[in-house]
Amino acid sequence: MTRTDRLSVFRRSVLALAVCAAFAAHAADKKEAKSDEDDPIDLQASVSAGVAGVTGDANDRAFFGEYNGLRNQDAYGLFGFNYSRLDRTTGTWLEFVGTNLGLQTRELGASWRRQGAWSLSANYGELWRVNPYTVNTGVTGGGTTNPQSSYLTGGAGSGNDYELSTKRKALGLGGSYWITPELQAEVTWNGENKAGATPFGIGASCPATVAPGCGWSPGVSTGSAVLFYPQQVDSQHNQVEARLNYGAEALQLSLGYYGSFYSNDIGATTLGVPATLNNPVGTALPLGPGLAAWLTLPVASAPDSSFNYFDLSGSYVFMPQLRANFKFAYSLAKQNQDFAGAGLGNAPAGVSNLDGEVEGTLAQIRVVGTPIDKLTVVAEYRYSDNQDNTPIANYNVVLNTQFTNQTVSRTVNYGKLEGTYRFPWAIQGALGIDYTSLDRGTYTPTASYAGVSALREDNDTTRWWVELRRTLTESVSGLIKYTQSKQDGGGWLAPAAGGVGLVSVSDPAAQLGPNAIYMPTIADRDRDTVRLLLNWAATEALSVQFAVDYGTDRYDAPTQFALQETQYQLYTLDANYALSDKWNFNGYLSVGKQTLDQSRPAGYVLAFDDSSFNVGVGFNGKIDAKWQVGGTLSYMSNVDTYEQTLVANPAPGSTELLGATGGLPDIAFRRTDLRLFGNYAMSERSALRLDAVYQRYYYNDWGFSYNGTPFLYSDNTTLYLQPSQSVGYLGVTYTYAWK
Amino acid sequence: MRSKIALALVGTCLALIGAPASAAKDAAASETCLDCHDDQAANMKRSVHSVAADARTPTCVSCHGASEKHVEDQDNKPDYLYKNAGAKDAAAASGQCLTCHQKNRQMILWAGSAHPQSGVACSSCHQMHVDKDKVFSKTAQPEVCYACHKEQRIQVNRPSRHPIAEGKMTCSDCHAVHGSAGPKLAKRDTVNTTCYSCHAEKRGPFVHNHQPVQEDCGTCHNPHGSNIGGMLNARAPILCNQCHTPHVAGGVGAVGGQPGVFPPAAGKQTVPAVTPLSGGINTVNVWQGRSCLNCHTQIHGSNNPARTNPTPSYLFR
Repeated sequence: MTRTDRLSVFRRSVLALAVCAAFAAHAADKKEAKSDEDDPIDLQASVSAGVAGVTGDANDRAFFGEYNGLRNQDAYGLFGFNYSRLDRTTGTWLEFVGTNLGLQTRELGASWRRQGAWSLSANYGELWRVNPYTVNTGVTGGGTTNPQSSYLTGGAGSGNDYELSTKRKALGLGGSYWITPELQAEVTWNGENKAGATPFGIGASCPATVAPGCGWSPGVSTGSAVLFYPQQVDSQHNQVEARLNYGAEALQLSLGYYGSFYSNDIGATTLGVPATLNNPVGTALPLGPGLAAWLTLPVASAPDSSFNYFDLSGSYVFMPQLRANFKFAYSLAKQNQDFAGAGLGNAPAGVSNLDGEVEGTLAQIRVVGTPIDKLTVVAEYRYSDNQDNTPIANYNVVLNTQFTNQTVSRTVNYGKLEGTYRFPWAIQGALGIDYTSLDRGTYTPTASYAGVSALREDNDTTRWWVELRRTLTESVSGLIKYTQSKQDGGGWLAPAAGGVGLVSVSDPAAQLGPNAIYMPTIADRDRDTVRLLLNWAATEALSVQFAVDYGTDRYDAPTQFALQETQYQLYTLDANYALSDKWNFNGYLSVGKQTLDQSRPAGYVLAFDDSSFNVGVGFNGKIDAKWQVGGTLSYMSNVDTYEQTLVANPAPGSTELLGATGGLPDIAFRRTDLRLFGNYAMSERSALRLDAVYQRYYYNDWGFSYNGTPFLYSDNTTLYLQPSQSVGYLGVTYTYAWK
Repeated sequence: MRSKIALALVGTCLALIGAPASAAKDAAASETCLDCHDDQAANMKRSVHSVAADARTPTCVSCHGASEKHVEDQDNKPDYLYKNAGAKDAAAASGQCLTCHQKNRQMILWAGSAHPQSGVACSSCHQMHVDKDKVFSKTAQPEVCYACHKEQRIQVNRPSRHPIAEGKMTCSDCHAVHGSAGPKLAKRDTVNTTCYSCHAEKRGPFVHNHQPVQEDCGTCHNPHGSNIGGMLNARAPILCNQCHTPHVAGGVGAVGGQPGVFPPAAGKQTVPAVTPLSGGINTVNVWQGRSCLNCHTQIHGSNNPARTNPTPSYLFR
C-alpha cells in the first residue's frame, strides 16, 4: 500500500469513526433523554482548567493581589471542579467542590446529606493575605522570635525587600441529625492555623537627656528610636459548636454550646539592636545609655485563651397575634498563660500567670404582638453583664509607685418599645424608643489612669425614631426615617494625684482645666440621623432607587478639645434596566461626604473631610444560544483633607510650622475596575470562558512617604507602597460538564 | 413534565404515609399551576424545595395559595405574590415562609428583629425559583445586601478591607441576618465576640487591657472598610487624641517631606520642627509610620507582666 493509499484509508477511517461517534452520541443522547425522565439520579459535574496571566510586577499588584493569590507571579493555573449528585428517591445529596486549586486561596468542600434527615460536611480553605506594603530593611531573622535589626549604612532602600504576609489554613467538619421530625442535633468543628508575619515594631524615647537609666547626649548619642520588625505569627484557633434544636408549631428551642480555643506558638519577641541608630534628623549615632536595654526588652505576643459559651434561645407563639422570643447565655473567658513559659519575666512575686477570667451572662426577651388590627408592638429587654474576675496584682512600678492591673467589667441594660401601624394606601408608620444603660462598675482603685483626663463609670443613651414607609410593592415606594439619640452619663472621675486610682470631680471644667480631653465614647452626645429611600418601578423593565443617608454627632464636653462634631451624608442613585429576557443593564452613582471636627490643646483645630464619589455600570446578556457576556466598570474616588487652624495658645513654633507646611497634605484613593467575561458553549457539555480584568489604583497616603521623603525607621528601614498601580488580568478556562 | 411527575409522586407519597388529605389535595392542585408555569418548575428542579422525598417539601399551593380565582382567570392575581405589583406586604409574605421555616433554629429571633421591623421579607433577599439561591454564594451574597446597605457597598472597596470582593468572606459571616441578641445583628451576642471568631488573639484578657478594646472593637475600627490602614475609623494620632491627652510635643501636625519639618528651617521658622536636639516624640514620629503605635505597639492590650521600666502598662511591649 502506498503512502497515499494509507492516508486515504486513514481519512476514510477517521470519517467512519466520526460518523459512528456522531450516531453513537445521538443514540446515547436519545437513551439519556429517555432515561432522564425516569432516572431518579440527577447528576451534574464539571471540571475546569485554565491559565491566567497578570501584567505588571508585585508593586503594581499590591492592592489587586492582596487577597486573591495573584500578587507575585505573572502566570497561574486555574483549576476547579464541581460534583453534585441528587438521588430524588431518597432526597440525598452528595456534593464535592473545589475552587482556585492552582492558587494559594484554594477551597475544597464536601457534603453528604439527606434532606430532613442528616448531613455531613467537610471543608478546607486557605486565605493568604499579602500586605500591600513592601518592607526594605536590614532586619534579619524576621518572622522568628529573635529578629535582629541591622543599621543600613547605605541609607534607605539599601536593605532587602521583605514581604509581609499571613496565611490561614482552615479545616471544618460538621454534621446534623434529625432525631425526630422536631428534634435536631448539630455539631461543627473548625480548626485554623494562621502563620506568617505582620508589621510590628518597638519604640522608645528617653524622657530627658539625663533621665535615670536612659538619656542621651545631643550630637554624641541618640536617646530615642523607632524600629520595625516583622512579627512572627503562628497560632491555632479551634472552634466547636454543638446545638440541640427543637421545632414544633408553637414552640422552638435551641440549646447550644460554643467553644473557642486560641493557642499561640509565639510567647514573646525580643529584637536585637545594632550599636548605631539614627537620631530624629537621620544622623547615625551610638545609642544612648539605657536605650539599648529598653529596646531589647521582650515584647509579649497574644496569649493563649479560651472561651466557653452556653445558650438557650427560644420562640413561642401564644396566639397568632402574640409571640415572644428569648435568649439566655452564660460565658466564661479564661487566660492563664504561664509568663515564664512565654519568655516573659519580672512578674510580681508569686504570680506565675494572670489567671484572667471574664464571666458573662445574657438575658434577652422580645415580645411581638398585634393588640388591635394593623398595629404591631415590639417590646424588648436585654441584660448583659461581663464581670472581669481577674486577680489584681502589682504589675506596675513607676519610680517608687506601685500600681496594679485594671479589670474591665460592664453591665448593659437595654429596653425598646416600638409600634408599627398600617395606614391606608399601603403606608406604614413606626414610632419607637429605646434606652441603653452602660455601667462599667467601679474602676480598679489601685490601677493607674495616666494618659486620660477624665472617665465615667456609666453612660445612658436614649434614642427615639419615627418612620414612614410605603410598602415596597407598588410602582413608587419608599421610606423616610428620623432618629434622634442622646448620650449622657454619671459624674466625672479624674486620675488622682500620685497617679493611682481616680477621684470624683464635681466641676470638671474648673477642676480639670481648659485642656482636658473628654472621650467621645463617654461624653455627652446628641446624634441625629435621617434616611430617605425611594423605589420607582418606572416600567416593567426599568427600576430606579434613590437613597439619602445623613447623620451628625455633636459632643458636649466641658472643654472644646478632642472630638467636637462629626457629620455624614451619602446620596445614591441605582438603576436597573432589563432590555429583554436576555439582556440586563445596571448602574449606580454614590456621592458622599464625612467630616470630623477635632482639636488638641496647644495645637490645632482639625477639620477633617472625606469626600467620596463612586459610579458603576454593568451588563450581562446572551448574544445567542452559545454566547453569554457580561461586565462591570466602576470608578471610586476618595479624597481626605486635613485642614488645620491654630488654637488660641499654640505650642511654640506651631504658627511658623503651619505657615511653612501649609498643613497636613491631602490623601487621595482612586480605583478604576473594569471586568469583562465571555462564556462560549462549545457543545452541550463544554464551554470556554474568558475573563478580563483591568484595575488602576492611586493612593498617596503619607504615612510612610511624602514628596520623595520616606519615613525612616531608626535603622533606615522603609516601607513602600507604589502610589500608582495598574494591572491587567486575562484568564481562559475550559469547562467540561456531565449531566 | 418531570415536575408533574414529581408533584404526582409527592401526592402519592403523602397519601401513602397517611399525610393529611389537604396536603395531597395541595399537590394535586399544584399540578394545575404547571400547565402554564412549567418554566418556573424547570428553573428550580435542583432546588431543595423540589426534592419530593423530603416530606417537608412544599408545593406551589404551599407558598402561593390555592389561587382558585387565578386559575379561573389569569387576570386575577394568585393568593400570594412576593414581588412586583400585587405582592403581599412583608409581614404577610414572610408569614407564608414561616409556616415551615419558623421551626428552623435560625428563625428563633426573627420576630421583632431589625430586618422584619424594616419591612424586609424573606423574598426580599431569597430567590425561590432557582437551583441555587444567590445568598448562599459568598461572592454573590453582598450584592443582595447592597440593595439596601449602600454605604457598605462603597466601604468594602476601600484600600483597607476584609476579603469580601474575593469571596473569602461575606456579610453573613459577621451578621445573623435572621435575628440576633446582639447589636447590629452581630452573629455572636456582642460585636467583640463576633470579631474574636477570626481574631481570637485580641480576646485577652490581658495583664494590661485597653478598655475601649474590651468594650467595642467598633470604637476604633470600621469592619466594612476604610481608607486608613487597619480599617481604622480615623488615623492615628487623630483617633487616639479623641480619648488621650496628646504628648506635649507635636503641636501642629506635619510630615517629613514638607518644608520646615526637617532642617533647614522654612518660612518664618528660626528652627525646623525636628532638630538634632529633638526627642523621639516629634511631629514625624507622631504622624507617620505607625504613628502612636510606633511606641505604643500593643494597642489591643499586653500580657507582659514585667515590673521594669518602661512599664508595659503604657502598651509599649
